[in-house]
Amino acid sequence: MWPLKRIGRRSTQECLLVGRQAAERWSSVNGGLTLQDSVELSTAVPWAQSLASSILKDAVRALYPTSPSVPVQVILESAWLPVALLEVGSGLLNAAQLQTLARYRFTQLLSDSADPGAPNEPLELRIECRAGSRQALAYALAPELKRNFEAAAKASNLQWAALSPALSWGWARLCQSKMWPRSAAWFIWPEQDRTLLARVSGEAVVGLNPGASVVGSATEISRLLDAEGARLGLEARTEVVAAATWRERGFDDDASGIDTLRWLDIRNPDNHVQRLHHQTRQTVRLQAQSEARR
Amino acid sequence: MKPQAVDFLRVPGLPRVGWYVLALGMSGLAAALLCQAHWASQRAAVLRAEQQALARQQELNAPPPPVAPTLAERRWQQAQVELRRPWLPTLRAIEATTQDPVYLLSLSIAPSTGQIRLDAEASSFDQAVDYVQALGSDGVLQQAMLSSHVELPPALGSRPTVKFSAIAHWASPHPASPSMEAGS
Repeated sequence: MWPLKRIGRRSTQECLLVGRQAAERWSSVNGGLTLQDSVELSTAVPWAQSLASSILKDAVRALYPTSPSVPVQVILESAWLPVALLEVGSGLLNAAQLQTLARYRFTQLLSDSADPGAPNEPLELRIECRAGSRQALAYALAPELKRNFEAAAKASNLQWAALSPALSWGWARLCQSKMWPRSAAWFIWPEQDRTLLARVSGEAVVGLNPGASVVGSATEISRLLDAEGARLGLEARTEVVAAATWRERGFDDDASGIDTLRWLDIRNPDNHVQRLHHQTRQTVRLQAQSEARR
Repeated sequence: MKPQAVDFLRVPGLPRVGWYVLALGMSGLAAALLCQAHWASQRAAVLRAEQQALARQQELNAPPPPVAPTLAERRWQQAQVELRRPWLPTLRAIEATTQDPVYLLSLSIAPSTGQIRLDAEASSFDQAVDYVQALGSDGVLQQAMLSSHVELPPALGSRPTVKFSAIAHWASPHPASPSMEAGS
């Protein structure tokens, strides 16, 4: 292991994961993320108002009563930071054209959204597109939401290190791990209220279902893959699937019928999930023994 | 390159490394162009020097330019042309060949072409033919041929006559050697 990488792994990392249902504080020591605390966010109010300045400030203050020693990385799930895959065609588009296309697409998406509180200001966009590729991955952040986060940081005396979409953050984190399957054709990213299913080719996303239902087991994953494969005209079960998870998976979930499914632990991407299962069963056995002795 | 997470707190732009690489590339390109221009000028200078040396060498090896002949030399050259024409051998050959019963009536010589035309008469056609063949036998006259003849009826008390014309050419004069010119 490179010395610098060892130093990086030992460093403390603070992440604020904000989803539709809850805001979670994750921090890491020696590389692995651990859930420290979580605050529920109300889902009864419309989209834009769920993360109003006051709600966000209260959540951040509750999660960070004291300022951490390092800047906090904010990870926004697609409920707050929508993602869309744009078909740009075979022609070359410049940055302005991509921006126009993305803005039009997001306007359509958000105007059709069940939440009536769609933002009025022009969205701030980030578009990942390689010249010559037929697809572009676009993320949109409402300026009001960004201002609310800045206000929340100021109120809690925090410093944000970055504000990243959850899919992009998770993809970058897992791609760098040694457990990442090089020939992965599908990437499953779990969020609090949905699952994102991406068809990948190398390091590029060439297909995306940004609103699949939440999956909790490999069986549900196989059903999702079958549907998506049918939609794209592919045999998904024969291709390598990389599924990210924030929680440990049980042994039963591994008997999914998908031989090419690989679970990746977001908390510590270099850990083999099987090893974690063994540790979990040992921990459970020890806990049961200690309780029996009591 | 591993993918990097999108960050809405950073303004997207060209990576600084890209600018450094671009500057490095432009510097390399400029240096390459300068070196190419410098080497091209050096090669051109070497080529120019070689061409000048070759021209000087050719000048040294070149024959001296011909000197324009003086008036006396031109007259002498014209006289040489005239002197080389075989007047005397031609007249001697004609005189030696023209014997009784062949009589020469007229003789014309065109010195520019060397053509000799003779009008003569003989007693018979055979004599005329023999005469023409004898003209070209000694090599002074060439291409002797009988161009025309007419047989005249004999007048009262005289013999029959054949008047004929013959054409010949004198042999082309050889260019005289300098020693021969000096001797003549």
